[in-house]
Amino acid sequence: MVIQNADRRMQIYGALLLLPAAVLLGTFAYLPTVATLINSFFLPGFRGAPPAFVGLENYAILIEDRTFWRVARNNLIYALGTIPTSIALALGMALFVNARLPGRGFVRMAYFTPTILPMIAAANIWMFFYAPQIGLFNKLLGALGLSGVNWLGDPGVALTSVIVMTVWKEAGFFMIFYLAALQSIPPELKEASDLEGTSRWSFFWRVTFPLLMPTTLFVLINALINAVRVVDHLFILTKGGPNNATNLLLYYVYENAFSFFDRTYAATITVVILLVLAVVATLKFTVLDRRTHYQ
Amino acid sequence: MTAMPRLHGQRGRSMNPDNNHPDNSAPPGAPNVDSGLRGSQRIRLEGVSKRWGDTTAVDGIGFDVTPGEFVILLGPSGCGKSTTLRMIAGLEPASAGRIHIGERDVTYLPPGDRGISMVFQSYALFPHLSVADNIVFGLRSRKVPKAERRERLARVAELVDLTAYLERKPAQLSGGQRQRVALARAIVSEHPICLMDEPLSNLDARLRGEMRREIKALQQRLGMTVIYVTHDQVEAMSMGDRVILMQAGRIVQDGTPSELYECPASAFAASFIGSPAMNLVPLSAAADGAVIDGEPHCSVAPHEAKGHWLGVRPEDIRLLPADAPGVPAEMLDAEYLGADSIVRLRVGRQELRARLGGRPQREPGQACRLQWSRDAAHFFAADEAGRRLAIVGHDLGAPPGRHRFAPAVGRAAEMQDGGASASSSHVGNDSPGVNR
Repeated sequence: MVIQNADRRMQIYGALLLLPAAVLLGTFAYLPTVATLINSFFLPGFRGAPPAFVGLENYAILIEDRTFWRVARNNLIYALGTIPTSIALALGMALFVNARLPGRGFVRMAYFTPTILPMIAAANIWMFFYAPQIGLFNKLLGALGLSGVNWLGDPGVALTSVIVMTVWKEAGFFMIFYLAALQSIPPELKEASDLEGTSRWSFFWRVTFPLLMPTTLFVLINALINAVRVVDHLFILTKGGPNNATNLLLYYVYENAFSFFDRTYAATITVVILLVLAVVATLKFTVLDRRTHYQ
Repeated sequence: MTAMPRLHGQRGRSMNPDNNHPDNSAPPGAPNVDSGLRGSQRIRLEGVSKRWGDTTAVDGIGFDVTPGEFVILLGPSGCGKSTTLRMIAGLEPASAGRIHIGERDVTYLPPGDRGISMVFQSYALFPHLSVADNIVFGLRSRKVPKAERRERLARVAELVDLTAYLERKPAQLSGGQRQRVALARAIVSEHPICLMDEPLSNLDARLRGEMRREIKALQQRLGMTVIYVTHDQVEAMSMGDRVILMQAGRIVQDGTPSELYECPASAFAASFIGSPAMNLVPLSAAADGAVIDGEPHCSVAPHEAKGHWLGVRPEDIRLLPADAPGVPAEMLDAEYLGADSIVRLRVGRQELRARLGGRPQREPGQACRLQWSRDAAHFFAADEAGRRLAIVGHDLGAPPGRHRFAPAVGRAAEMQDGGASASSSHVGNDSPGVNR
């Protein structure tokens, strides 16, 4: 009896330790997720009428929704445009500022500055770069005698403009992770390979890059989540326009929920986003993790 | 140092039991490097210095290493020995001086073109690569064909007894096994010169002794030229054909281990080699010669030694009863170590330590006499350099007034078996039994 009591006390003790985290996670992560899932099976009730259960009808509408597919395609292009570029850029910058160079601290700070800016502030700065008449880019082009581009107004260019801004914003952040990882690689490894006449290029691909793989994975997942999570800049730069050319999934969710007041349709899109992210996370844990060397 | 068969036996036992080649002259397990090529790889340093701003890490040192030699760079931490090694490897550029390997001036060559391999203190294994990939890393860099790579890997893995571990990652190996991988990586390159930077300092004491023998055996078997950096005098004495003792960026002494032990070139060399360290006591003037400071009755050296330092190794001191001739002393305490004891003694105002066989025979506080043979007494100048002085001490065993000031005979001949065995020889004109 006594032993059982002691055992139970330990269990209660453990549960109490877990409680704060469980309450926070439950309230702000799991509960909304479940609520969203349930919402996606209803149609919104108008004029005080209760929401009507419609099963998978919302999903059927979603599949027929041209705009949704447009936005999904945009988001895919946005992800493909931002993730590899910002990772490659971050790695390049980290390798650069990890080497001995004059004013290294200053260069590192300069690379990191975009990260400490809020997305909204960064978007405002780029607003001035992209502005059709007075913008920096068009002024520069004008100085070269070229006609300007409507960076954010032209449907063929707008998404690229948003991508460039995002890469600028994210690369410095990822650079910090690469820099930390590079500094944890013992310098003797470079010396040992130098003694064998290994070229820099060969050393990078055979030693540095594999040893940075855990960081690359971490950064990759972060970049992927950011690609669907961060849409702040759209509010400043394009508001999803022109003609949905720069609309991204989360911004589309926002539009549906708060502009068109179709909360249940917004919930449906959210569920789809969650599903896609879950698949990606599963792939990461099953395929990539096994092939990565963790120290 | 030339006992090949014995070392082979050790190698066979400790590294690789089923590889007992009957043919000792050309071991099939050894990488077949052209011995002529190896023969030409003499290393020569001329006035090599390394400065970082105002600090001078290495100050104009020079030495030659003959092919096949096992040379130890010995010294306390911060004496510039690792920097010297890294300059030979090309990992640090020399601030001044020239470095030659073979016929080539390699002072400005990149490390990969110098024809050397190196074993690092931290082993510098690539953590994401298997043992096999670690070993052949350099061969891949040098575009050695795959078939040859595999063949050399198999040979070297057998040589260092790693065949069963080739698929493992370094993290799955013990410290000694990692050390072997590092060795294998150095051997597989078949460079005639191998530099080792404190390779054993990360191992525990027992493993260190084992690896010491293995490295020495491998070096002899493969005919490698090794420059080995250590601060451990045991490694230096037991492994080196030659020891270069460094202090503050300069070479203090360059000689065989026995030369360093028996004939230290300076007070620093004397105190660095030997455990416990050599006793160093100041000498002052007295009527019939120089005496140990604070003990005016028994002169230990001629007048010219006064004001300088006397050095006597603890193992060269003999303890005699108080009525025997010798330096009067009082026993302070004794530390029993099993095979021998370390006895602390007070002589005048000085303290000496003596290493005596077996258990201490006397009680603390007891008076006694100390003797040492003539060539066990070393004299060093009292200046900063503390260089060795060519003074011959008195024969402490002789009764006062008789042979004490007789000139030393056959000192050079006595040198070769002096040191540790001094307690049983050399003096001749006395024995504890007679005096008692």
